[in-house]
Amino acid sequence: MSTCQEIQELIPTFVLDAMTDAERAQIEQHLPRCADCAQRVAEYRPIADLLAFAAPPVEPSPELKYRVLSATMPKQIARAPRPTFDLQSLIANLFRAPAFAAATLVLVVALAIWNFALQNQVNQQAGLSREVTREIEHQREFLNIVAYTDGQPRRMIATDAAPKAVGRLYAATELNSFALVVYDLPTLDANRAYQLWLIDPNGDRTSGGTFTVDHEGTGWLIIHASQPLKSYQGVGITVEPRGGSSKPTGARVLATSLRD
Amino acid sequence: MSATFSDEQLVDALTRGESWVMAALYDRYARLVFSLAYKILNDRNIAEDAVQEVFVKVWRRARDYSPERGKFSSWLTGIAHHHAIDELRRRRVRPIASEDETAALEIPDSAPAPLDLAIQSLERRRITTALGAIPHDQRRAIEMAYFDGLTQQEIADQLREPLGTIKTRMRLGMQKLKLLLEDAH
Repeated sequence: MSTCQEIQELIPTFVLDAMTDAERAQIEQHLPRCADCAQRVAEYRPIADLLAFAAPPVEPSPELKYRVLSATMPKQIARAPRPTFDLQSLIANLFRAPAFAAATLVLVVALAIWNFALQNQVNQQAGLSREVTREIEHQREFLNIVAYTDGQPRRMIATDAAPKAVGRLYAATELNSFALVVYDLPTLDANRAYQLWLIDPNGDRTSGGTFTVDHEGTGWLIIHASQPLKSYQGVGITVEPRGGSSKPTGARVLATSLRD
Repeated sequence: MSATFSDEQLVDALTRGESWVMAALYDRYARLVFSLAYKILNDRNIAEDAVQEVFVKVWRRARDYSPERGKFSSWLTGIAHHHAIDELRRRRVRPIASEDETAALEIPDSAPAPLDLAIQSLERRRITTALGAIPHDQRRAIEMAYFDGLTQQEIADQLREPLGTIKTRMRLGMQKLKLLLEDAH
Protein backbone atom coordinates (compact mmCIF):
# COMPACT_ATOMS: atom_id res chain seq x y z
CA MET A 1 0.00 0.00 0.00
CA SER A 2 1.48 3.36 -1.04
CA THR A 3 1.34 6.41 1.13
CA CYS A 4 -0.12 9.67 -0.14
CA GLN A 5 3.34 11.17 -0.12
CA GLU A 6 4.62 8.43 -2.43
CA ILE A 7 1.63 8.80 -4.72
CA GLN A 8 1.91 12.58 -4.84
CA GLU A 9 5.53 12.32 -5.91
CA LEU A 10 4.38 10.26 -8.89
CA ILE A 11 1.49 12.51 -9.91
CA PRO A 12 3.50 15.01 -12.01
CA THR A 13 4.63 12.15 -14.24
CA PHE A 14 1.27 10.37 -14.01
CA VAL A 15 -0.37 13.25 -15.90
CA LEU A 16 2.35 12.95 -18.57
CA ASP A 17 1.54 9.26 -18.96
CA ALA A 18 5.25 8.49 -18.68
CA MET A 19 5.17 5.69 -16.14
CA THR A 20 4.99 1.96 -16.25
CA ASP A 21 1.64 0.17 -16.32
CA ALA A 22 2.23 -1.01 -12.75
CA GLU A 23 2.88 2.53 -11.46
CA ARG A 24 -0.15 3.84 -13.32
CA ALA A 25 -2.35 1.09 -11.92
CA GLN A 26 -1.07 1.90 -8.42
CA ILE A 27 -2.18 5.52 -8.77
CA GLU A 28 -5.46 4.74 -10.46
CA GLN A 29 -6.38 2.41 -7.61
CA HIS A 30 -5.49 5.04 -5.04
CA LEU A 31 -7.24 8.07 -6.53
CA PRO A 32 -10.90 7.09 -6.00
CA ARG A 33 -10.16 6.64 -2.28
CA CYS A 34 -8.17 9.84 -1.73
CA ALA A 35 -9.60 13.29 -2.34
CA ASP A 36 -6.25 15.00 -1.65
CA CYS A 37 -4.40 13.03 -4.31
CA ALA A 38 -7.30 13.39 -6.75
CA GLN A 39 -7.11 17.13 -6.15
CA ARG A 40 -3.37 17.05 -6.86
CA VAL A 41 -4.04 15.30 -10.18
CA ALA A 42 -6.61 17.97 -11.03
CA GLU A 43 -3.95 20.62 -10.36
CA TYR A 44 -1.33 19.00 -12.59
CA ARG A 45 -3.59 17.87 -15.43
CA PRO A 46 -3.88 21.40 -16.95
CA ILE A 47 -0.07 21.57 -17.15
CA ALA A 48 0.00 18.47 -19.33
CA ASP A 49 -2.96 19.79 -21.34
CA LEU A 50 -1.14 23.04 -21.98
CA LEU A 51 1.88 21.21 -23.40
CA ALA A 52 -0.18 20.55 -26.53
CA PHE A 53 0.08 24.26 -27.30
CA ALA A 54 3.89 24.08 -27.21
CA ALA A 55 3.98 22.24 -30.54
CA PRO A 56 5.25 24.65 -33.23
CA PRO A 57 2.25 25.83 -35.29
CA VAL A 58 2.01 24.07 -38.64
CA GLU A 59 -0.79 24.41 -41.18
CA PRO A 60 -2.53 21.25 -42.42
CA SER A 61 -3.17 20.97 -46.15
CA PRO A 62 -6.36 22.68 -47.37
CA GLU A 63 -8.07 19.49 -48.45
CA LEU A 64 -7.86 17.96 -44.97
CA LYS A 65 -10.94 19.96 -44.02
CA TYR A 66 -12.94 18.28 -46.74
CA ARG A 67 -11.66 14.87 -45.68
CA VAL A 68 -12.74 15.55 -42.09
CA LEU A 69 -16.12 16.92 -43.09
CA SER A 70 -16.80 14.15 -45.57
CA ALA A 71 -15.92 11.59 -42.88
CA THR A 72 -18.32 13.15 -40.41
CA MET A 73 -21.15 14.40 -42.58
CA PRO A 74 -20.83 13.20 -46.16
CA LYS A 75 -24.41 13.82 -47.15
CA GLN A 76 -24.44 17.44 -46.11
CA ILE A 77 -21.29 18.19 -48.07
CA ALA A 78 -22.03 16.24 -51.17
CA ARG A 79 -25.58 17.45 -51.41
CA ALA A 80 -25.17 21.02 -50.28
CA PRO A 81 -27.74 22.95 -52.31
CA ARG A 82 -26.46 25.66 -54.56
CA PRO A 83 -28.00 29.06 -53.84
CA THR A 84 -30.60 29.94 -56.44
CA PHE A 85 -32.58 33.10 -56.97
CA ASP A 86 -35.97 33.22 -58.65
CA LEU A 87 -37.30 36.77 -58.65
CA GLN A 88 -40.75 35.93 -60.09
CA SER A 89 -41.62 33.36 -57.45
CA LEU A 90 -40.23 35.61 -54.74
CA ILE A 91 -42.59 38.42 -55.81
CA ALA A 92 -45.52 36.02 -56.15
CA ASN A 93 -44.91 34.73 -52.62
CA LEU A 94 -44.61 38.25 -51.31
CA PHE A 95 -48.05 39.16 -52.70
CA ARG A 96 -49.56 36.08 -51.04
CA ALA A 97 -47.90 36.82 -47.70
CA PRO A 98 -50.38 37.93 -44.97
CA ALA A 99 -48.12 40.78 -43.95
CA PHE A 100 -48.16 42.25 -47.41
CA ALA A 101 -49.70 45.73 -47.49
CA ALA A 102 -50.43 48.06 -50.38
CA ALA A 103 -47.84 50.49 -49.10
CA THR A 104 -45.23 47.81 -49.59
CA LEU A 105 -46.08 47.58 -53.28
CA VAL A 106 -44.07 50.67 -54.17
CA LEU A 107 -41.03 49.31 -52.42
CA VAL A 108 -41.37 45.87 -54.00
CA VAL A 109 -41.77 47.30 -57.51
CA ALA A 110 -38.78 49.60 -56.98
CA LEU A 111 -36.71 46.72 -55.71
CA ALA A 112 -37.82 44.56 -58.64
CA ILE A 113 -36.79 47.19 -61.18
CA TRP A 114 -33.47 47.68 -59.44
CA ASN A 115 -32.99 43.93 -59.30
CA PHE A 116 -33.73 43.46 -62.99
CA ALA A 117 -31.13 46.14 -63.71
CA LEU A 118 -28.63 44.35 -61.52
CA GLN A 119 -29.47 41.06 -63.19
CA ASN A 120 -28.75 42.68 -66.52
CA GLN A 121 -25.39 43.88 -65.29
CA VAL A 122 -24.63 40.43 -63.95
CA ASN A 123 -25.47 38.91 -67.34
CA GLN A 124 -23.10 41.34 -69.03
CA GLN A 125 -20.40 40.53 -66.51
CA ALA A 126 -21.03 36.83 -67.02
CA GLY A 127 -19.44 36.95 -70.43
CA LEU A 128 -16.30 38.43 -68.93
CA SER A 129 -16.22 36.08 -65.97
CA ARG A 130 -16.70 32.81 -67.85
CA GLU A 131 -13.15 31.87 -67.02
CA VAL A 132 -13.76 32.45 -63.34
CA THR A 133 -16.98 30.45 -63.48
CA ARG A 134 -15.18 27.55 -65.13
CA GLU A 135 -12.53 27.67 -62.43
CA ILE A 136 -15.17 27.66 -59.69
CA GLU A 137 -16.91 24.68 -61.31
CA HIS A 138 -13.56 22.96 -61.58
CA GLN A 139 -12.86 23.53 -57.90
CA ARG A 140 -16.34 22.39 -56.94
CA GLU A 141 -15.84 19.16 -58.86
CA PHE A 142 -12.50 18.69 -57.11
CA LEU A 143 -14.08 19.19 -53.68
CA ASN A 144 -16.87 16.75 -54.52
CA ILE A 145 -14.34 14.09 -55.52
CA VAL A 146 -12.44 14.64 -52.28
CA ALA A 147 -15.67 14.49 -50.30
CA TYR A 148 -16.71 11.21 -51.95
CA THR A 149 -13.28 9.59 -51.65
CA ASP A 150 -13.35 6.12 -50.10
CA GLY A 151 -11.05 5.88 -47.11
CA GLN A 152 -7.69 7.56 -47.22
CA PRO A 153 -6.19 9.10 -50.36
CA ARG A 154 -3.60 6.99 -52.14
CA ARG A 155 -0.11 8.34 -51.67
CA MET A 156 2.32 8.57 -54.54
CA ILE A 157 5.99 7.84 -54.05
CA ALA A 158 8.54 10.53 -54.88
CA THR A 159 11.47 9.63 -57.11
CA ASP A 160 15.02 10.94 -57.03
CA ALA A 161 14.00 13.54 -59.63
CA ALA A 162 11.84 15.29 -57.00
CA PRO A 163 12.60 13.64 -53.65
CA LYS A 164 10.56 16.05 -51.53
CA ALA A 165 7.43 15.83 -53.67
CA VAL A 166 4.16 14.69 -52.10
CA GLY A 167 1.31 13.39 -54.26
CA ARG A 168 -2.12 12.13 -53.24
CA LEU A 169 -4.84 10.60 -55.38
CA TYR A 170 -8.47 10.91 -54.35
CA ALA A 171 -10.87 8.45 -55.88
CA ALA A 172 -14.29 6.96 -55.17
CA THR A 173 -14.70 3.26 -55.93
CA GLU A 174 -17.08 3.49 -58.84
CA LEU A 175 -16.34 6.92 -60.28
CA ASN A 176 -14.27 7.48 -63.40
CA SER A 177 -13.14 10.90 -62.20
CA PHE A 178 -10.42 11.27 -59.63
CA ALA A 179 -8.32 14.08 -58.25
CA LEU A 180 -4.61 14.58 -57.77
CA VAL A 181 -3.02 16.98 -55.29
CA VAL A 182 0.73 17.58 -55.28
CA TYR A 183 3.04 19.54 -53.01
CA ASP A 184 6.70 20.45 -53.24
CA LEU A 185 7.16 19.59 -56.90
CA PRO A 186 9.87 21.66 -58.62
CA THR A 187 8.53 24.67 -60.53
CA LEU A 188 8.96 24.18 -64.29
CA ASP A 189 9.81 26.70 -67.00
CA ALA A 190 7.02 27.91 -69.30
CA ASN A 191 7.74 25.28 -71.96
CA ARG A 192 7.20 22.27 -69.74
CA ALA A 193 4.38 20.76 -67.68
CA TYR A 194 3.74 17.74 -65.53
CA GLN A 195 1.72 14.95 -67.16
CA LEU A 196 -0.15 12.20 -65.35
CA TRP A 197 -0.18 8.69 -66.82
CA LEU A 198 -2.67 5.93 -66.14
CA ILE A 199 -1.06 2.52 -66.55
CA ASP A 200 -3.45 -0.25 -67.56
CA PRO A 201 -2.90 -3.96 -66.74
CA ASN A 202 -1.05 -4.41 -70.07
CA GLY A 203 1.42 -1.70 -69.10
CA ASP A 204 0.05 0.76 -71.68
CA ARG A 205 0.10 4.42 -70.65
CA THR A 206 -2.84 6.78 -71.19
CA SER A 207 -2.57 10.49 -70.46
CA GLY A 208 -4.69 11.72 -67.55
CA GLY A 209 -3.92 15.36 -68.31
CA THR A 210 -1.23 17.95 -67.73
CA PHE A 211 -0.81 20.46 -64.92
CA THR A 212 1.64 22.98 -63.58
CA VAL A 213 2.50 23.96 -60.01
CA ASP A 214 2.68 27.34 -58.34
CA HIS A 215 5.84 28.89 -56.95
CA GLU A 216 5.50 26.74 -53.81
CA GLY A 217 5.26 23.54 -55.82
CA THR A 218 1.54 23.02 -55.20
CA GLY A 219 -0.79 21.87 -57.94
CA TRP A 220 -3.87 19.79 -58.61
CA LEU A 221 -5.57 18.00 -61.45
CA ILE A 222 -8.90 16.34 -62.06
CA ILE A 223 -8.59 13.23 -64.17
CA HIS A 224 -11.54 12.07 -66.28
CA ALA A 225 -10.68 8.50 -67.17
CA SER A 226 -12.52 5.81 -69.10
CA GLN A 227 -12.75 3.57 -66.03
CA PRO A 228 -12.41 3.79 -62.23
CA LEU A 229 -8.95 4.22 -60.74
CA LYS A 230 -8.94 0.69 -59.31
CA SER A 231 -9.02 -0.70 -62.85
CA TYR A 232 -5.53 0.60 -63.49
CA GLN A 233 -2.28 -0.99 -62.48
CA GLY A 234 -0.51 2.23 -61.55
CA VAL A 235 -0.19 5.94 -61.95
CA GLY A 236 2.89 7.98 -62.79
CA ILE A 237 3.75 11.62 -63.30
CA THR A 238 6.49 12.77 -65.67
CA VAL A 239 7.88 16.06 -66.92
CA GLU A 240 6.76 16.69 -70.51
CA PRO A 241 6.57 19.51 -73.07
CA ARG A 242 3.88 22.07 -72.21
CA GLY A 243 1.14 20.61 -74.43
CA GLY A 244 1.72 17.06 -73.20
CA SER A 245 3.10 13.98 -74.93
CA SER A 246 1.50 10.90 -76.43
CA LYS A 247 3.70 8.71 -74.22
CA PRO A 248 6.06 9.42 -71.29
CA THR A 249 9.33 10.96 -72.43
CA GLY A 250 10.65 12.94 -69.45
CA ALA A 251 11.79 12.26 -65.91
CA ARG A 252 9.31 10.52 -63.62
CA VAL A 253 8.69 12.52 -60.42
CA LEU A 254 5.90 10.61 -58.67
CA ALA A 255 4.49 7.11 -59.03
CA THR A 256 2.28 4.61 -57.30
CA SER A 257 1.25 1.03 -57.87
CA LEU A 258 -2.47 0.34 -57.51
CA ARG A 259 -2.06 -3.41 -57.19
CA ASP A 260 -1.14 -3.59 -53.48
CA MET B 1 -18.62 33.07 -37.38
CA SER B 2 -17.50 30.31 -35.01
CA ALA B 3 -15.70 32.80 -32.76
CA THR B 4 -19.10 34.07 -31.63
CA PHE B 5 -19.92 30.66 -30.14
CA SER B 6 -18.21 29.20 -27.11
CA ASP B 7 -16.74 25.72 -27.35
CA GLU B 8 -19.47 24.48 -25.03
CA GLN B 9 -22.17 25.92 -27.28
CA LEU B 10 -20.60 24.27 -30.30
CA VAL B 11 -20.39 20.87 -28.60
CA ASP B 12 -23.96 21.23 -27.38
CA ALA B 13 -25.07 21.96 -30.95
CA LEU B 14 -23.02 18.99 -32.16
CA THR B 15 -24.83 16.64 -29.80
CA ARG B 16 -28.10 17.94 -31.24
CA GLY B 17 -26.93 16.94 -34.70
CA GLU B 18 -26.37 20.43 -36.07
CA SER B 19 -24.46 19.82 -39.27
CA TRP B 20 -22.45 23.06 -39.41
CA VAL B 21 -20.65 22.48 -36.12
CA MET B 22 -17.88 20.19 -37.34
CA ALA B 23 -16.76 22.83 -39.83
CA ALA B 24 -16.69 25.44 -37.05
CA LEU B 25 -14.75 23.17 -34.69
CA TYR B 26 -12.37 22.25 -37.47
CA ASP B 27 -11.74 25.89 -38.33
CA ARG B 28 -11.06 26.65 -34.69
CA TYR B 29 -8.86 23.71 -33.77
CA ALA B 30 -7.45 22.00 -36.87
CA ARG B 31 -4.17 23.87 -36.75
CA LEU B 32 -3.67 23.12 -33.05
CA VAL B 33 -4.49 19.43 -33.47
CA PHE B 34 -2.42 19.11 -36.63
CA SER B 35 0.56 20.91 -35.06
CA LEU B 36 0.45 18.53 -32.09
CA ALA B 37 0.06 15.45 -34.29
CA TYR B 38 2.85 16.61 -36.57
CA LYS B 39 5.17 17.34 -33.65
CA ILE B 40 4.57 13.82 -32.34
CA LEU B 41 4.48 11.87 -35.59
CA ASN B 42 6.91 13.95 -37.67
CA ASP B 43 5.15 13.06 -40.94
CA ARG B 44 2.55 15.24 -42.65
CA ASN B 45 0.59 12.37 -44.18
CA ILE B 46 0.40 10.35 -40.99
CA ALA B 47 -0.38 13.48 -38.97
CA GLU B 48 -3.23 14.42 -41.31
CA ASP B 49 -4.67 10.91 -41.04
CA ALA B 50 -4.46 11.29 -37.26
CA VAL B 51 -6.27 14.64 -37.36
CA GLN B 52 -9.05 13.08 -39.40
CA GLU B 53 -9.40 10.25 -36.88
CA VAL B 54 -9.40 12.70 -33.97
CA PHE B 55 -12.21 14.79 -35.41
CA VAL B 56 -14.21 11.67 -36.20
CA LYS B 57 -13.77 10.64 -32.55
CA VAL B 58 -14.93 14.07 -31.40
CA TRP B 59 -17.96 13.81 -33.67
CA ARG B 60 -18.83 10.34 -32.34
CA ARG B 61 -18.04 11.03 -28.69
CA ALA B 62 -19.30 14.61 -28.31
CA ARG B 63 -21.79 13.42 -25.69
CA ASP B 64 -18.90 12.19 -23.52
CA TYR B 65 -17.58 15.72 -23.11
CA SER B 66 -18.57 17.38 -19.85
CA PRO B 67 -17.71 21.07 -19.27
CA GLU B 68 -17.56 20.39 -15.52
CA ARG B 69 -14.51 18.19 -16.06
CA GLY B 70 -12.47 20.75 -17.98
CA LYS B 71 -12.13 22.88 -21.07
CA PHE B 72 -13.10 21.50 -24.46
CA SER B 73 -9.65 22.30 -25.81
CA SER B 74 -8.16 20.07 -23.09
CA TRP B 75 -10.55 17.26 -23.94
CA LEU B 76 -9.76 17.62 -27.64
CA THR B 77 -5.98 17.83 -27.23
CA GLY B 78 -6.16 14.90 -24.81
CA ILE B 79 -7.84 12.80 -27.51
CA ALA B 80 -5.35 14.06 -30.10
CA HIS B 81 -2.36 13.37 -27.85
CA HIS B 82 -3.46 9.84 -26.99
CA HIS B 83 -4.23 9.06 -30.61
CA ALA B 84 -0.94 10.42 -31.91
CA ILE B 85 1.12 8.71 -29.20
CA ASP B 86 -0.67 5.41 -29.86
CA GLU B 87 0.09 5.85 -33.56
CA LEU B 88 3.71 6.72 -32.80
CA ARG B 89 4.16 3.68 -30.59
CA ARG B 90 2.67 1.56 -33.36
CA ARG B 91 4.90 2.96 -36.03
CA ARG B 92 7.92 4.09 -34.08
CA VAL B 93 8.76 6.47 -36.91
CA ARG B 94 11.17 8.45 -34.83
CA PRO B 95 13.23 7.47 -31.79
CA ILE B 96 14.01 10.84 -30.23
CA ALA B 97 12.79 14.41 -30.15
CA SER B 98 14.34 17.12 -32.23
CA GLU B 99 13.65 20.74 -31.41
CA ASP B 100 14.14 22.38 -34.79
CA GLU B 101 12.78 19.91 -37.26
CA THR B 102 9.64 21.82 -38.14
CA ALA B 103 11.29 25.21 -38.42
CA ALA B 104 10.90 25.38 -42.17
CA LEU B 105 7.17 24.82 -41.94
CA GLU B 106 6.41 26.96 -38.94
CA ILE B 107 3.86 29.72 -39.17
CA PRO B 108 5.20 32.73 -37.28
CA ASP B 109 3.18 33.66 -34.21
CA SER B 110 3.11 37.23 -35.43
CA ALA B 111 1.06 36.24 -38.50
CA PRO B 112 -2.40 37.85 -38.54
CA ALA B 113 -4.77 35.52 -36.76
CA PRO B 114 -8.48 35.53 -36.06
CA LEU B 115 -9.70 35.48 -32.50
CA ASP B 116 -9.55 31.70 -32.16
CA LEU B 117 -5.95 31.57 -33.27
CA ALA B 118 -5.05 34.55 -31.11
CA ILE B 119 -6.34 32.71 -28.03
CA GLN B 120 -4.30 29.65 -28.95
CA SER B 121 -1.30 31.84 -29.60
CA LEU B 122 -1.56 33.23 -26.07
CA GLU B 123 -1.75 29.73 -24.63
CA ARG B 124 1.30 28.81 -26.69
CA ARG B 125 3.18 31.79 -25.37
CA ARG B 126 2.28 30.89 -21.77
CA ILE B 127 3.59 27.35 -22.01
CA THR B 128 6.66 28.06 -24.15
CA THR B 129 7.66 30.90 -21.80
CA ALA B 130 7.28 28.59 -18.82
CA LEU B 131 9.17 25.78 -20.54
CA GLY B 132 11.93 28.25 -21.38
CA ALA B 133 12.23 29.19 -17.73
CA ILE B 134 12.96 25.71 -16.36
CA PRO B 135 16.33 23.96 -16.61
CA HIS B 136 16.98 22.41 -20.04
CA ASP B 137 17.38 18.87 -18.66
CA GLN B 138 14.00 19.05 -16.97
CA ARG B 139 12.34 20.48 -20.07
CA ARG B 140 13.87 17.80 -22.25
CA ALA B 141 12.64 15.00 -20.01
CA ILE B 142 9.11 16.44 -20.00
CA GLU B 143 9.06 16.92 -23.77
CA MET B 144 10.37 13.43 -24.42
CA ALA B 145 7.57 12.05 -22.28
CA TYR B 146 4.83 14.19 -23.82
CA PHE B 147 5.85 14.43 -27.48
CA ASP B 148 7.74 11.16 -27.91
CA GLY B 149 5.47 9.05 -25.71
CA LEU B 150 8.42 7.62 -23.79
CA THR B 151 8.25 6.23 -20.28
CA GLN B 152 10.72 7.41 -17.67
CA GLN B 153 12.69 4.20 -18.13
CA GLU B 154 12.87 4.71 -21.91
CA ILE B 155 14.01 8.29 -21.42
CA ALA B 156 16.68 7.14 -18.99
CA ASP B 157 17.85 4.54 -21.51
CA GLN B 158 18.00 7.04 -24.37
CA LEU B 159 19.80 9.70 -22.37
CA ARG B 160 22.01 7.13 -20.62
CA GLU B 161 21.07 8.57 -17.24
CA PRO B 162 19.97 6.77 -14.06
CA LEU B 163 16.20 6.24 -13.81
CA GLY B 164 16.13 8.11 -10.51
CA THR B 165 17.69 11.16 -12.15
CA ILE B 166 15.01 11.22 -14.84
CA LYS B 167 12.24 10.81 -12.29
CA THR B 168 13.61 13.72 -10.28
CA ARG B 169 13.98 15.92 -13.37
CA MET B 170 10.45 15.29 -14.49
CA ARG B 171 8.96 15.82 -11.04
CA LEU B 172 10.91 19.02 -10.41
CA GLY B 173 10.22 20.28 -13.94
CA MET B 174 6.49 19.75 -13.62
CA GLN B 175 6.44 21.36 -10.17
CA LYS B 176 8.23 24.42 -11.54
CA LEU B 177 5.95 24.60 -14.56
CA LYS B 178 2.95 24.52 -12.24
CA LEU B 179 4.33 27.38 -10.16
CA LEU B 180 5.29 29.43 -13.21
CA LEU B 181 1.91 28.99 -14.88
CA GLU B 182 0.06 29.80 -11.68
CA ASP B 183 2.13 32.99 -11.32
CA ALA B 184 1.49 33.94 -14.94
CA HIS B 185 -2.26 33.50 -14.60
